[in-house]
This record gives sequence, structure tokens and C-alpha cells, in this order.
Amino acid sequence: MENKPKSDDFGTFLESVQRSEKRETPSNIPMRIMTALSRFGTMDLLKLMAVVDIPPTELLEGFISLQAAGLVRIDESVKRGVIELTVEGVQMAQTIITSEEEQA
Amino acid sequence: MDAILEWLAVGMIGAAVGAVELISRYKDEPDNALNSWPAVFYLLINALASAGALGLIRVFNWDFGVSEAGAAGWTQVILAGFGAMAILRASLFTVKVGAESVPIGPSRFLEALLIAVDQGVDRKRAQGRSAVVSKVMRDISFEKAYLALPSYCLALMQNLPQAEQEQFARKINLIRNAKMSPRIKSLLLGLALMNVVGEGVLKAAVEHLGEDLKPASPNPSPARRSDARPPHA
Repeated sequence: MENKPKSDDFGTFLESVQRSEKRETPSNIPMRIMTALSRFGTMDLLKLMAVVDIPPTELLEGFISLQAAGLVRIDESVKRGVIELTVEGVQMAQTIITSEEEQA
Repeated sequence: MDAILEWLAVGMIGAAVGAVELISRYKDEPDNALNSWPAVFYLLINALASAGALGLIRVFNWDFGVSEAGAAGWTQVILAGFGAMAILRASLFTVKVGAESVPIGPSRFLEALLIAVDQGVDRKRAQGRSAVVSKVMRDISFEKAYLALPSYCLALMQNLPQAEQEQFARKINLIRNAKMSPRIKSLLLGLALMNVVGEGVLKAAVEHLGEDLKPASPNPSPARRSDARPPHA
């Protein structure tokens, strides 16, 4: 039986980035969510909303995009579910905070 | 001699299961994941649990229906090795503490150990990573690199599943869309890439792509100007 040639080494990545270039608008909300979680620790959506001071729909969009990128997750062992950074999310948030502090 | 081999083997099964678990958590730098004191302790606990299970099996003389002495011994080793790993990862019941559901069982102990391993490994890696990313991505333009550099790295890797490529693309989109300095964006790009492909591949890719990823210089160096084709040649 003939093996199909490997058709995709990085095509999925390129397509995905280029697709989003056409439809997404610049937004700093996901990064604000990440730095807030890094500074204040895990919290539920309501508390996060109060901390970052972002309208609910935009906060939810930001959270969903962070979750899809594997940078935050919901700990569902808690009743209302708290949002926490993943290991990679922690690394990224710390890089942002450290770099901003250095630049200030 | 066989007895020593059996004890060694059962310990190795436990340690191997623990090692696979740790390596799967740190796919990009497996050697770093195993090279810390909490990780060594984690492997030791797994090995001791397997050895303990074999000890119990021997005390109660369970032969699992195998009558031939040698075969019975190795059956005990395999069942003790993997059985202990299953028991160690089990939770017997869940209790409510306030709003939180807490699983009670050996898995709780193992989770606490894994958190210690995570923290130990993260601390160790964070120090090195920060320095490496700053150095490797120092002169890299995010605008020039955010498509080319990951594509090149992924092509070198060859086998990154499409789901992981999608997730990685989402990270890059978040960084691209964020309102922050180009330098921080470059650092985050390097960090995200290093988590997927590891330090070696990132360094090699930046080295190979070299000048193509650097910001356009407003005043080209004399050496580069002399390389340029004369306008009316």
C-alpha cells in the first residue's frame, strides 16, 4: 500500500494565523487578563471582571481566546469555577510584567 | 540473583511510569524535567510504591494462578509494578470542603508531589529561559518573524500535530494583536516557540534565518552598501 506524502508540516499554523489576520482586531484584553491573574492569583470570572475593569462580553471573548491558546484554564473542582493561568500562561505573564517594569 | 533482578525490575517499572509522566508534562525539555531534586524524589516514591506492592504480594504469597516458580515471580513483578502505579493514582472518594471538591486517596499525595516537581522544574527553567530568550530574540523583529520563524521551526520539527499547531497559532495571534512594545512581542514569540520546539531548535532557526528576521536598518553598514548592486549596473 502506498503511503500518502506528509502534506502539512506548518500549513495548519500558517492558515490559522492568516485566517485570523483578516477577522481579528487588535486587543489588549487577553494580556490584561493574564497579567491580572499573575499579579492577584486565581479568581472567578466575577472577581476578574472587577479587577481588570472590562465589560463582560469583551472579558468573556478575551478569556475564550486565552483558553483556546492554552494560556488559562478553569479549575472546575471549585463550585463557581476559578480561572487560573497554565504553566505557559504564567511564563508569558511574568515576561510581560518583567519587561514592562524594566522599560518603566 | 533472580530475586535481586526482580526487585530491581519492579523498582524500574515504577520509576519508568513516573518518568514518562514527568516527561509528558515537559515535552520540550525532558532532560530538564527529570534533572531536579523533586523529580528524583517523585521517581523514588513511584519505585518504592512498586517495591512495596511486590513486598506485600510476596508476604501474602499471591501467585495469581501461575504455578511455575520463575514465571510466578515475574508475574508478581509486573502486577506489582503497574498495580502500584494504578493504586497510587486513584482517589477513593471526594469530600466537599467549603465550595471545593477534594478528592481523597493516594492520588492527592501524588498531586502534591507533582506540584512540587512543577515548581522545582519551573523555577529552574524560568531562570535559564528568560536569559536564553532575551539573548536569542534580542535583534529579532516581531513583524518579520511571527510567520517565518514559527513556520521554519515547525518544518524542522516535522511532526507537530495539527491541533497543537492551531493552539500555537492562537498564541501568536494574541501576541500580534496585543498593544505592547515590539520587543516584548518578540520575547513572547521566542518563549512560545521555545515551549513547543525547545531551545536548540529555536537557536538554530534564528541562526539560519539570521538577517531576514532583523529590523530593516535605516543606515545600512558600509559592508552591506558595498554588496549592493550599483543603480545603473
